Amino acid sequence: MLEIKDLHAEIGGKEILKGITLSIKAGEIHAVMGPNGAGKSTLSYVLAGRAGYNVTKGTVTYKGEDLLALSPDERAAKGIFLAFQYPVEIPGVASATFLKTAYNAQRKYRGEPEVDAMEFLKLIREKTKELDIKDDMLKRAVNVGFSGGEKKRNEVLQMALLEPDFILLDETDSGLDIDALKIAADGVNKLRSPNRAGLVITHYQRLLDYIVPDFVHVLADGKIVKSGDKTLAYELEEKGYTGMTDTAGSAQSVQL
Amino acid sequence: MAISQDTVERVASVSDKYKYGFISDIEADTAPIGLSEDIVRFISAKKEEPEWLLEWRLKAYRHWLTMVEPQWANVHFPEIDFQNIYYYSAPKQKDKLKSLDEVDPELLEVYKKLGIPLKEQEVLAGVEGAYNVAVDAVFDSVSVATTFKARLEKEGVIFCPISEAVRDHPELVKKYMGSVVPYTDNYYAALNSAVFTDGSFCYIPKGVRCPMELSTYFRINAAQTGQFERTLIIAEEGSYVSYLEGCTAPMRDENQLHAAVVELVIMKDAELKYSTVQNWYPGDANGVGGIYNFVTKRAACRGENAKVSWTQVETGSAITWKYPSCILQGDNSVGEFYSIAITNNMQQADTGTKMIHLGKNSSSTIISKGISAGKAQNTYRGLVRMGRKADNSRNHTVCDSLLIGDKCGAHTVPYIENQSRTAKIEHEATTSKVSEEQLFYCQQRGLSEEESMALIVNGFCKEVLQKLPMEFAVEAQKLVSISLEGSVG
Amino acid sequence: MKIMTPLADQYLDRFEADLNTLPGGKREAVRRLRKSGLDIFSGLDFPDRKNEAWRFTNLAGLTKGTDAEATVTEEATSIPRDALKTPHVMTFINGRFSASDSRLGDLPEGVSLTSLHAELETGNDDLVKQIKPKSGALVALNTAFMEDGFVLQVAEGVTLDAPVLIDFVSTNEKGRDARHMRNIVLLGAGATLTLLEQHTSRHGHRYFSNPRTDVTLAEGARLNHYKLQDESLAAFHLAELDCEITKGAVYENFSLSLGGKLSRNELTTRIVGAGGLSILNGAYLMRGEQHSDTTTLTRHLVPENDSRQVYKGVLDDSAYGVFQGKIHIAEDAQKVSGDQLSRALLLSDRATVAVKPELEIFADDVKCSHGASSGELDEDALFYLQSRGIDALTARKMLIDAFLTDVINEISNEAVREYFSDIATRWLDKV
Repeated sequence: MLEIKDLHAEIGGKEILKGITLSIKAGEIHAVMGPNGAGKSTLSYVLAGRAGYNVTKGTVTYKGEDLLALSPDERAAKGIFLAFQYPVEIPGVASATFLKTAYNAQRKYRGEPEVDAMEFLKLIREKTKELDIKDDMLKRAVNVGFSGGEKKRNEVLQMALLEPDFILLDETDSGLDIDALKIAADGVNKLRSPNRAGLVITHYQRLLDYIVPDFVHVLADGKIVKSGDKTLAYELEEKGYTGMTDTAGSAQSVQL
Repeated sequence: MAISQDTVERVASVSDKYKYGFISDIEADTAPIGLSEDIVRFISAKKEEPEWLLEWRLKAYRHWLTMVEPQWANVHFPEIDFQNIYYYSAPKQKDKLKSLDEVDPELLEVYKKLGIPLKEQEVLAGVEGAYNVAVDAVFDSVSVATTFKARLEKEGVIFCPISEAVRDHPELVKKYMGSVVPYTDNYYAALNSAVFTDGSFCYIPKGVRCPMELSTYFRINAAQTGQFERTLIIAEEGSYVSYLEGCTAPMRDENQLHAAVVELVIMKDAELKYSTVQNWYPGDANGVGGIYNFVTKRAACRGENAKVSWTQVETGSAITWKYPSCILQGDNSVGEFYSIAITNNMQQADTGTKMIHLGKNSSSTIISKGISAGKAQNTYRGLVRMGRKADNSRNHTVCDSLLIGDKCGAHTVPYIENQSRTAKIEHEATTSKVSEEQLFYCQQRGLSEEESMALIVNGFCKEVLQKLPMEFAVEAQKLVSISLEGSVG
Repeated sequence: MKIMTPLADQYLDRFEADLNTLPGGKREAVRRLRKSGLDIFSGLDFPDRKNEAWRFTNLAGLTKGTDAEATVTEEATSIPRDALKTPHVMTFINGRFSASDSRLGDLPEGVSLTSLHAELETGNDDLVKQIKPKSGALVALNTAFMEDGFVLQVAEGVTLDAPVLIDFVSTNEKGRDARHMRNIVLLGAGATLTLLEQHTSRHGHRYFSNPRTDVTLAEGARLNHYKLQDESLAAFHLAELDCEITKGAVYENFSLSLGGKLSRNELTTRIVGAGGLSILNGAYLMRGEQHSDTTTLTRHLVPENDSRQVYKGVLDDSAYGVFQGKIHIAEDAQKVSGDQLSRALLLSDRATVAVKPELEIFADDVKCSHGASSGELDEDALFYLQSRGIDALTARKMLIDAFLTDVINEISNEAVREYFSDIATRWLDKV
């Protein structure tokens, strides 16, 4: 579903990703782990298309199409969903308005008919009920004044509503809130299916107790230095990144 | 409820506590009173200056004659009679000094009383309380001593009276003097350019980190005398220097004028920290006497990544009119302004800064704490301007005022101009008082009312006090307390 | 002798002749009033940028005199003028009351709405005495040349629910290129009223509008005063308002400014009674070469009262926005709180905003704050919206709309809130 080949990217002239190759098939969840500063966040932003992250070399193919040629909203409409570690607060924009605009924008892009307010309300009510989210959250401005847990729930609600094909879960920061984490993980697990795929980016093995990945990759200094199955995560937890990359035995030398 | 009458009265009694109000009997060499082209020539001749400098002074003087005193500041005072001021007064000196040991013992005594170390030995011998600071001592119109010159010379650092720099390093003075503050800049800057008598000159060569703090200590002693000093500091590419200045004057019934100009030039990757503790005589509780402190201070960040930081603690002077500014020309250059201004009794302060952003990614921070007590008026006045090309530049300003008593005033007048879409400016200002609850809470824990006040005010100022070099911070903290009362110590 | 600007000279030259033809020309009291206004004006001229209060706004384009070339042909007003449904409408066309375009029949007892023209001609002397030339150049000029305006008087305890709409309409009528409207609002104790003032144009022509409004609120009265300024893009609109707020009275003002080549909205509120409340809010939306200036002065003259204000600006193209706001707290005016916020969004590299928020405080037991910020849209928020499938332009509009909604929501009258919100959205559609 997603093919990353020799991806190089820079921010403000500084190269952060130095040649990443990764292949994710439908039905698979991959985890990318790595120490701080390895380029984990950059990877998620490059895939989602954030401005300021320049790809200098390499390709990313998504469902057979050149992903890098698309704007962030086009990527979203084609099914890519980035769950933010710190969802952005947008004062003045009601959650309901935001969700409806996003939902209809994606439908319109895909040539599907837009839904009217009544229909949307019905749909969103179903989702909030399913996720045990209070309706009043829809009236409040996007993420403004939300607790950490509420922000995560809002991300999951968006995920459930937009039903993406490819989920990017960015939990790079070391300051993890375990409860919030579980909420995000549950959301991802609910959507897991043979038609969907996901990339979980994290610093700690802990998250992978909740979302069990099919493959684990270690990212260091902008490159993937080791790949394996989920046991690699436990190994990392035990030995730490330094130990791991030292024994990686790969031809690439790693600077941590 | 407002604070008790008792506190107001105690706070009002400060002026009696001005520690530096003594007059020293030092024989002086003085110019005739008043101002004319002849006086300008007299000063220039006294200092044995080259022709170009005299010409520059005369141009400044002639320009000054065409100007009018600025009226826009929120300060009020009787018209100054510029013909009733001595423009030059210097302690009599028989011969040129060969070493610090030859400085008039009486002068040394003055500085000892002020707590200023002019003895290198003490510092070198590690005498307790002696700071690792090089000092240029300016007494009325001239520099009387400069310490640690030899040690600084080893690093290529030039630190000397500006009159000496004119003689020994004319190329540097000629190149930079007036380049940041031209004599046409404003009324007092023009006056200063015509009659400046001394001040400090610092030059930090490329790549040098100045090994010690540099400082100038200004003292006005003679009666009816104005002090017009000029400071010029040049930090070459990649250099670093921290500079401090302190000021005091005797208690006199008359108002004395202090009109200084300070120019800072900061090149690529260089950093300059400039700290001031201004404690000129503020006048008595009825507003009689005190210094008029009308000062022009400006820094030009001329290269990429140049950084300048102004920190000021303004507790003295009857009137303060002063806006240390930063011209951020270089891309990524940084300007900072941290200020505490305390006015008590009849004092008036109109102070602040200007941050002119010209380069890309330049950033500035302004933190101003104004404290007003007695019948004083305290005004923050500042300008933040983002030029059309100042892409992605940032400013953050916080202006807090504290009022003690119900007869004083606190004013905030910021000017904010943004011409760059990608630049961001944020400004916040608050005005509050020391609450009865805060005072009561401290008192309930065993502090006296004035100790409580000092504690609360120091807490209010903390962010700025922390920016001072350590040697100065302790002194400044004490001064903050003393200025509001004899409350601590 | 002082050299006056060409426009000032024109006014001075024609005054003697106009004195007889302007309303009240046969009444000595009115003539005297006009003369005192002219005296003040002739000593001042129009303000220039050397005047501290005008440092960001340059009137040279107006004061150099009429410039026929400047006429713009584009239709200026695109908002639906009838969107606000109310039975009470008073219409002025080119500065003159038009009875045929007004609906004043349904006003309840205790509410009197008359034209200043009529009051100056035949009204009682008490009202004329209320009009003062004041010290500013613009109000003095207005006093000398005032021709019409609305006089709204509400008796004690009367409450009117439906908004009163005052519709100032400009058309391209020959020889009618200036309007000096003088408006008076007097609310009796406990009276409550909602007023919407609307300044629009049917043609994109050049004219000079110099309205002056004086409001007096008796004890416990409340006025919700809204203003829509959508003048022609070639017009100069220099408005002044003064409001006296007595004990327990509430003055709420919201100004939405979109029109004018150059416009200034100068508001002064004076709180002279405990429990008084001054609420000044507004939004300015400018594009092209437009210049907008909002200048406020809030004076707390007695203890125990509050004020608050929020202004937001959106500046596109080469537009220039000014906000100057001063909070003054007099000596002994203890237990006062005053808050002010001004925010501006710059949508273009050529736009400029100049802000001067001022605090002038002479009492210690007060709480005052002001905040000002300016910059572009939040990039994190833009990316977040886009990452959910919303295209860049829609995302931008959503964020600008949210920025404005925040302040428009402060309007307490629902009908006006929706009306203004709709107008702002229409403006946004052109971004």
